[in-house]
Amino acid sequence: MLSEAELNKALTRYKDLPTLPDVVARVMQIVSNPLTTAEDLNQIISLDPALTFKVLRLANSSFYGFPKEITTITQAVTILGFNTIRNLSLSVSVHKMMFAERERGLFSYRDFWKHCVAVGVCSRILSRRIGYRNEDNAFTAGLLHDIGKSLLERVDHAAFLSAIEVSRAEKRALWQVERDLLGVDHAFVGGRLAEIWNLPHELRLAIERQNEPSKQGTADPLTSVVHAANQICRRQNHGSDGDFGPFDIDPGAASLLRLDDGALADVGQKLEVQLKEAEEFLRFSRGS
Amino acid sequence: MDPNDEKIGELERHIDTLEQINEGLRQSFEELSQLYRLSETIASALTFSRVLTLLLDVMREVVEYDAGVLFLYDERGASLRPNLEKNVTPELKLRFDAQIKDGTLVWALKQGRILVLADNGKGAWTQGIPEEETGRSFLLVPILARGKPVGLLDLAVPSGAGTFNQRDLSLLGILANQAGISLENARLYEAVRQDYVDVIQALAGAVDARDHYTREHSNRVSSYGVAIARQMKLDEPFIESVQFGGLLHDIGKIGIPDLILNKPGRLTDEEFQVMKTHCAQGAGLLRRVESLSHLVPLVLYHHERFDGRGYPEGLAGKKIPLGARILNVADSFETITSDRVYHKARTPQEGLEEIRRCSGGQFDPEIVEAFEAVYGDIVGRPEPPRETP
Repeated sequence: MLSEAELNKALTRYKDLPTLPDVVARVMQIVSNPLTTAEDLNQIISLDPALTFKVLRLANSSFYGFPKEITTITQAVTILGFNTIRNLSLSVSVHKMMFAERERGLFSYRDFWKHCVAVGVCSRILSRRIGYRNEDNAFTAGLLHDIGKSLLERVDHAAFLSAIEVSRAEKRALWQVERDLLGVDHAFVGGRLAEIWNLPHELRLAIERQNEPSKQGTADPLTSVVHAANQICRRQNHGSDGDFGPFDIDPGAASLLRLDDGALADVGQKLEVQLKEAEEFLRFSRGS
Repeated sequence: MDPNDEKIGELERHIDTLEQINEGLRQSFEELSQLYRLSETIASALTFSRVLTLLLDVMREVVEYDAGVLFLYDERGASLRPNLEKNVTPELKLRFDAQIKDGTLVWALKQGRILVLADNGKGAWTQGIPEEETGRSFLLVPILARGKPVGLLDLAVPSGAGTFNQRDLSLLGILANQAGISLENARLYEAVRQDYVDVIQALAGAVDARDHYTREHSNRVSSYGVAIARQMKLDEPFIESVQFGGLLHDIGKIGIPDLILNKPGRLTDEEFQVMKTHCAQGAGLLRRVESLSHLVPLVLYHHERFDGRGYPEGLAGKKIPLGARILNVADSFETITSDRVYHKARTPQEGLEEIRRCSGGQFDPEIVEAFEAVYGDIVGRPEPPRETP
């Protein structure tokens, strides 16, 4: 077992952690101010036409299902909420930075993003089941849960690929192999990215603890949601994430989410339906 | 630049920041106090419809709105129906209707989060509505109870949709949540209350089922008693105790043997002694039920006479509880004017005369006076349906 200090030390290898573009950094900042209006948010996002375009396209997708057309960022904010538009801006931007389409040997970013979208959608489904108050945060936590893997791949492609190879050969969880080979794992690195990007605290925790939701005692709801969603999507082969470890769901998380066989079947069915509604999120991996 | 000037400048900026923070805190405190007061107001309502009315009023203190509609959610049809309206003009009505028709409101309810729609005359939802920039917007405030949709408040406000900040919206959201909790409480309260009334009706029905001649007797005694109590300007809780006491006054007859209870012809002295125990038996039964125990004095003493010659204790005058004195008049009038084992029904007029004759004897003159005042209403009232046994 690596200690927090050892992980931090290993992380110094990745010292130039990518930063968010100014526009999105400002979005993260002003949404945390209660006095911010939809118009304020509009003024910032509109500075970036490409971002504006993508956010509006997602806002109009059947994933949100608003019955009429949303034509401005102000409308998108007043209708879908400050939180959702912040999350969409973040996701669009992170995708561009960390998931841009490329095939890298064993690791296909296209399949990887597909996995991330599926985990996002599944997280939203699970969060609804337990009446979690912020389902859009659940979606975003799921969508971004594996950002750490992108970073590991980008910093040391060969090392990351060999971790995947070992995971496949030994059927071991990727995060454990990463720790052995790289000294850090994607959850830890992802947590650090979430921290420097000013993601809401609960998202950061969910990313950081996704593989061991009960490690700190009781599993918290969002972490449990992301953890279970990840395992469910891996079982159902939605995209691929380079992990060939076991599919078990942590018992603490499973009981918090009341996941028995019946519930799993129900979630699986909903996932198929809602993945179709989330197509727009897959589409933005093909350029604009 | 002099380094001292630089330091002074920095200090001044810090002071400004502190003042801003202080102002923010002061505002937050005021808002919290306001929120607390408004939440209390909503929480004080006991009935479903009262909560809804209060919610519309209270919202006005938080957001200036021109008009509002409160919709209730119909779970079976998964649709919203208008329940309360405030200041809705025909022009606004078109817009509210359009929001229902195009599914916006049901969508908003499912989000469980406040949203703001600009009334900008654009988009499919304004089809058929004159296109114009109104500078107005609609605040859609979902009301949930325990996470389940209950209704939605739709407010037309005179400001642009983009001008609300997150704090404004969360303030409205907190009030809507409070309303949701209060609505749930009101529903529970009304359900418990209905159960209470149902149980009383069922008990009253149990006596009527045994004593064939007294079918509907308890209902009528109750309604005459209520009329008298109203005339005497007694308070609502008291009137209610007369209502329920009337329904249950003969409940002790459940314990009277059938041979005595339904005996054709006069009772012997011995039999009458047994019959008299129905007052104490009824009181004993009610005493065991906490929520009915306040009716014990009415049931126990409804055969006491003003002149002290009644039973079970021979109480006289004002020593007899007021409710029991009222029921005594109501019970006697009802008995005189209906068929009994031992007599044929007499006319209401004859009944009235008998009551008058016994004023100051069997009856408290004050109550007889009130009875005379409502007599017209009582006999003018359509008879409750009478089934033949």
